[in-house]
Amino acid sequence: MQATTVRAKDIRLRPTGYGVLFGAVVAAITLGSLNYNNNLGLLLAFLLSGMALASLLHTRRNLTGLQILAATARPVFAGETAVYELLVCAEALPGRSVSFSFQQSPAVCQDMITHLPRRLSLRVPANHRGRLDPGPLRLETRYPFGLFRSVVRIALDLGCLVYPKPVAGAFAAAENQARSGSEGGKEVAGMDDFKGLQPYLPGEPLERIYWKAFSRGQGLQIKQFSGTAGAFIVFDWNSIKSAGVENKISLLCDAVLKAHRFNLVYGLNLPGQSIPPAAGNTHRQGCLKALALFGTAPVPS
Amino acid sequence: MKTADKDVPVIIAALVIAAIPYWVRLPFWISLWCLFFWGYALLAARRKAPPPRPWLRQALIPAGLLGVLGSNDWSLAGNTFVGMLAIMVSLKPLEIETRRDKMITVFLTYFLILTHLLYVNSFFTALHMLVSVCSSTAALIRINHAGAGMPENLKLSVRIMLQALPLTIVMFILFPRIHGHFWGLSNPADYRTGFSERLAPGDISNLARDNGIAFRVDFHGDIPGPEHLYWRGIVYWRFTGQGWERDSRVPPRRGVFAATETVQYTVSLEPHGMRWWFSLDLPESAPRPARLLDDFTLISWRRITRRTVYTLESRRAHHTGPMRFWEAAALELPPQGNPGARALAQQWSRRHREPEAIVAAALLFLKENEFSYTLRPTPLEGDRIDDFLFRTRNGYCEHYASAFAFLMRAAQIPARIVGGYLGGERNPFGNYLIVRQSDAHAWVEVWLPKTGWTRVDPTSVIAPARIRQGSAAALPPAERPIYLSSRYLALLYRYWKPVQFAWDRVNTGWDTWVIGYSRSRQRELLTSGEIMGDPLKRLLVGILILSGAIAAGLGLFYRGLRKSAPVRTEKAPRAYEIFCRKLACITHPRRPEQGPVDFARQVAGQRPDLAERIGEITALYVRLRYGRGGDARDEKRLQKLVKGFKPRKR
Repeated sequence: MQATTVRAKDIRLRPTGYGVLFGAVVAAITLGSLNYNNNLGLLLAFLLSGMALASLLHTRRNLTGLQILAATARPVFAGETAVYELLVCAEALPGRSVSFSFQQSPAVCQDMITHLPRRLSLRVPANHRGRLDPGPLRLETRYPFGLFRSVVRIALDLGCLVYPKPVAGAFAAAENQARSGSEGGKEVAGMDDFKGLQPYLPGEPLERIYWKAFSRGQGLQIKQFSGTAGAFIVFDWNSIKSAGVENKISLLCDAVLKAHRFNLVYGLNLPGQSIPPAAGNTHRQGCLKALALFGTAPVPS
Repeated sequence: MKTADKDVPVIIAALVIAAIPYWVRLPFWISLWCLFFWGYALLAARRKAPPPRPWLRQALIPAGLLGVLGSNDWSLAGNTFVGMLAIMVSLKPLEIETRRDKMITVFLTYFLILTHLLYVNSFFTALHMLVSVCSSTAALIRINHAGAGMPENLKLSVRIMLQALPLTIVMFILFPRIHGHFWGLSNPADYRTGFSERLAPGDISNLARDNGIAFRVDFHGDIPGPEHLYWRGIVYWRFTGQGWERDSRVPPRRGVFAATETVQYTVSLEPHGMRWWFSLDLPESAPRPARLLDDFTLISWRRITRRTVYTLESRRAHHTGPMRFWEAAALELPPQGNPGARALAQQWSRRHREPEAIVAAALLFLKENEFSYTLRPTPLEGDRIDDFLFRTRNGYCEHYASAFAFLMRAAQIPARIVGGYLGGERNPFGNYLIVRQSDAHAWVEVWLPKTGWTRVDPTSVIAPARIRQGSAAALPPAERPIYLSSRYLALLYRYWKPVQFAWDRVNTGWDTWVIGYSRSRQRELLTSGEIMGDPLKRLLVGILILSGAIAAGLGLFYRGLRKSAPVRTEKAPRAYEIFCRKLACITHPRRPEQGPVDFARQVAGQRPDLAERIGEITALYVRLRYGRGGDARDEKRLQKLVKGFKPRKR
């Protein structure tokens, strides 16, 4: 995303309930002083109202120049909490007591010092699979007096991918139903036979790290297995005997996770979309994404 | 266990500051009550004492209110309400739980400040108001910005007050005022009564010891000589045998009199609870809401219950015009009594044909018969005028005025007594006159064919010093105030006097321009000069002033936003070096290969309490040194930040 800067004209200023109460207090002081012809009381009333006006400008200025430098969110499973990581910075003026929030997230209050980027995370509950749009980011401040609130809403277009909630126990069924590929062919990474050790490369499943070697001080090594080339399974939408689209998706999700954990070569067959068999993190993410967005929106390429 | 609420001490400090003036005004037990509950609230906020149970809080409120009512004789006077407010404010901190409670407590503090202003309007009160508003506002900021320290909050509070100042002044000048009140009330300010409708022997000598200020006068030109400073207030017409009384049937003055030497002056009259205004002999016309009576006294429509400022023009008369028919009252005497005085007067009127000669004869009689001027006259018995003229022969000005007026009437010369003040002290710091109650005086006016009503002051014959040096100097040594009779005290008094004068100057300016600012003064100010005459132009000028003030306020405000050309000098690295040296005292020094940001992160990890300051300094340095740079102001800020950074070892 591009860095977004809060401009003065985007800020909405409103009195808070306390602001209205304060106005009533000042009005009462003014009336009483006028009635008693008390100039000092009037002076107090005018001073207070002048200060409230000055505070209005402070409240407005407090948000001006704040920058949202970056915003990201890692995919989560439905039922978990999506965490949006923001990198914010005050450009020219410090921002005091600025609270950041999405519509459904608890606000995070933060003091901003000029030119010192801050990292903050906003937690939004992810209840349903799909793309979780938290809505615009809301910056609010009531600094310094709490009489006025300045609010700015920034559209960040931040979709967090929410994978379906896995429902366990259906993998065996799925495997049985899996269609075996053509016989023969070259050897591919599988889980059938132990083949040897290889140096670990980032991205490979942690389950296959050969910890004993690591404990002997031989570095991180990974166990290599060999399977038959073309020995793969495909999880098919139609072969799952279960009622309900969501339930089917949850079962498929669980199957994908398990297959990935066992380092199988697997593919996915969904109505209108099929993912050829493969293995690895990227493939896992692709499958999960396809499941997450299934039936919700046109799949982005 | 919850942690200590750090807002509560700040709120209570603001409350204590706002309540300071009440320690004198309210019953002692209320102050103790407040201090006790505030102290308890402090302990409760630090979790060192259990918060009081709700039923106890509910019970304390009526108990306190009843106590206040009881100590005010069960009346709903102003003091009762203030006491009740104090009780509420004392119990409020005990139930501070939420942000809402805190905000409301601060709003109550503002009310507390206001109630004090309804009683006292001095310059000190205003200073206290400013201090108190500042501390309450700092508490308000504290509530809404948990991160900052108290010095920072106070600084911001002062800053916002300064930014509000232009608007405050403009609003103060332009905000419409009203005459009178929206709802009925008695003014809580008590006032000092000088004269009354009756003049009896002893009335004025009682005032002689009263150093209170009656009024102040600002002359638009030079201050006239002391022999002209006769301030008339009331004219006493009727002699009752015991004393003299005012005539309430005097018609308003019409027509002009032949006169010279106009004097213009502004009087700032202290509240005295009566309706008359004081003016220099003789006023020509009266500004509203007073009117000029035919005996040259000014009477206001309202009782003077607060300081009143008015501008007058007086002239020294050649002739006050022909005698009016109702002025025959100036010859009336009771049918009987005081035969000795009557005989003396008739003897003079037989001997002299000219009334001037009779006046001179009477003055000569007073001068040659060993009359003396004293504050402690011998009590008079029987026919008081006779007793005074022929037996006791000592008295204060009202004795002489009374006897002299009687003698004149007995000699068929119209005479009346004028009550007012004589003289006044010039304040060297402001070229204005302070007239005190001790300057109270009474003199006589006789009607002479050649000059009309003519002032005759019989006291001036007995004690000439009274006119030139004031009443204290004219008294016999034993009766003088102690500061004049003792040599050492007199010396001290001489040094103390200028201080007193200077203080009075400050307070007078304050009173005239701030406290005494009223609807009429507002109109005067806004319509003075040629530009302000036209209402359209007045509106225009008002808008100009207002927008100017707002622009000035905004200018002050956005000064911080403006940026000048970036500079890069060696000041920033030097400041940073000092900063690193300071940090080296509390933690490991910066390794040579460690960058500023890395180093800051390391130190901040060890000392989270310093993280913010360190972060700020580092961020500023990095920008100045490696980033976009900054201007001279940024550099100065860095130096200031480093200078103010004083880490303490843990």
